[in-house]
Amino acid sequence: MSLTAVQAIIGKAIIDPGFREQLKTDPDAIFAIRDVTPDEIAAIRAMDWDAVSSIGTGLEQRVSRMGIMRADPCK
Amino acid sequence: MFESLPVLGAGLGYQPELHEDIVAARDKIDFLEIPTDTFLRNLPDWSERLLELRANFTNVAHGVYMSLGDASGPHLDYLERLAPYLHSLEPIWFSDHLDMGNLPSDAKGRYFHGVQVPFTRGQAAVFQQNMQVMRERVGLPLLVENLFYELVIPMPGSLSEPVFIREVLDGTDVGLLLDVENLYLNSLNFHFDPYQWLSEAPLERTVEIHVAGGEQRSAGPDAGKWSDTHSQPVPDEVWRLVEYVVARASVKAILVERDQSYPPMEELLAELDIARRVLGGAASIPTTLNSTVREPSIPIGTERR
Repeated sequence: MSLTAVQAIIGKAIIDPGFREQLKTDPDAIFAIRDVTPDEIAAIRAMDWDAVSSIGTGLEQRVSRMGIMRADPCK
Repeated sequence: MFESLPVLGAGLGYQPELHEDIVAARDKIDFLEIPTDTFLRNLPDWSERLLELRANFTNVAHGVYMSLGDASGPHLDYLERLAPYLHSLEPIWFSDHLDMGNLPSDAKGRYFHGVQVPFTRGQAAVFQQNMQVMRERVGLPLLVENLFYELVIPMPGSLSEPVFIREVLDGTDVGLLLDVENLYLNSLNFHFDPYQWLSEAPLERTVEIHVAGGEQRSAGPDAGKWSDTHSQPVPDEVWRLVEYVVARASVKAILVERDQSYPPMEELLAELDIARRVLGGAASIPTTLNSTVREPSIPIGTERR
C-alpha cells in the first residue's frame, strides 16, 4: 500500500481539472503507473467526485479572488 | 501532559482588517491567536505590527501550511521559516491542521490547504512522524485541529474520525485543538450525531477549542450543504457542544474565529464573554440570533474535570 501515491492522486485530482476528468474517463491509465493496490483503486473509484469537483472549483474561485498567481502564499 | 500550560481564557483570531479595534480592546481579549502564514507572508514589512501584538497580548500561533499528514515526509522548507518566526513570536503553543499537503508544486498546489486524509492507521502513523519532527525542531507545545471537510475518502480499513484522531495523538505529546464548528458542520453535512462523535474522541487531550459560524449554501450543486465560512455568530448548538466538552476536559482556551462579514467589535467581545462563561463552567448559555433548534441526543453534563 502506498499512502503517498493515494494522496498524490487525490491532491492532483483536486488541483487539476484535466487530471480529474481523466480519473473519471480513463482511470486505468493513471493507476497503471502508480503504486496503488486494488483496494486503494476501488476506494478512489468510490470517492464522491462531485465533492472533489466542488473542492476544486472552490479553489479556482479562491485563486481568482486572491490573485494567487501573483503572490505565493508560502513565501 | 498539558497540565502545566496556563488557562488562557477567551480569545480572538487576529485579523489585519480589525487591527486597530483589536489593539484598542486588548483589556477585553484574554489572548490572541496570530495567523502564522499571514505573518510569514508579510514579514519583514509587518515586523512592527508583530512586536505590537506580542507586547499587548498573550498569544498562540495558528497555521495552515504545515502539511502534517503528507506521507512524503515533513515539509522541512516550511519548517526552516516557521521555527525562527515562532521563536521571535514566543507563543504559548502553536497549531495546525490534520490535513495533508501532498499536492502538485505549482502555485495552486502551494496555495491550497485543508485537504482531507484517509482515516487509516497508516495515515495516523504519518502524522505521528511528521508531528515529532515539527515538535522537536520548534520546541513549543504543538496542537492539531480536526478539519471541516467536504469529502470522506472511503479507504479500506478506515477508522471513524474520532478514533482516528485518538490514534494520531496516542503516544505523542501533541494536544488537540478541537474545532467544534467544524465538527458541527460536518455532522450536518454528513448526517451524524456530534455528541456520539465527541463520546469517541480523545477529549482528554483537548487544549484549545475553536468556535465560529458557518453558512448554508443556497444555490449550485451543493445547495443545502454547510460551509465553514467564519462569517456568522457562533450558533447555540455549537456553544452547547462546547459546554459538553468543557465539562469533560481541562480546556485551556476558547477562540472565536471571525474571518469576514465583521460585526461591530462589541458583538465579537460579547461572544468572548460567552466563551469565558462556558470555560468557567457556567451552566446556561445565552441564546444567539443565529440558531436552529436542534436538541442534543446526549444530555449536557455539568461535571467539569
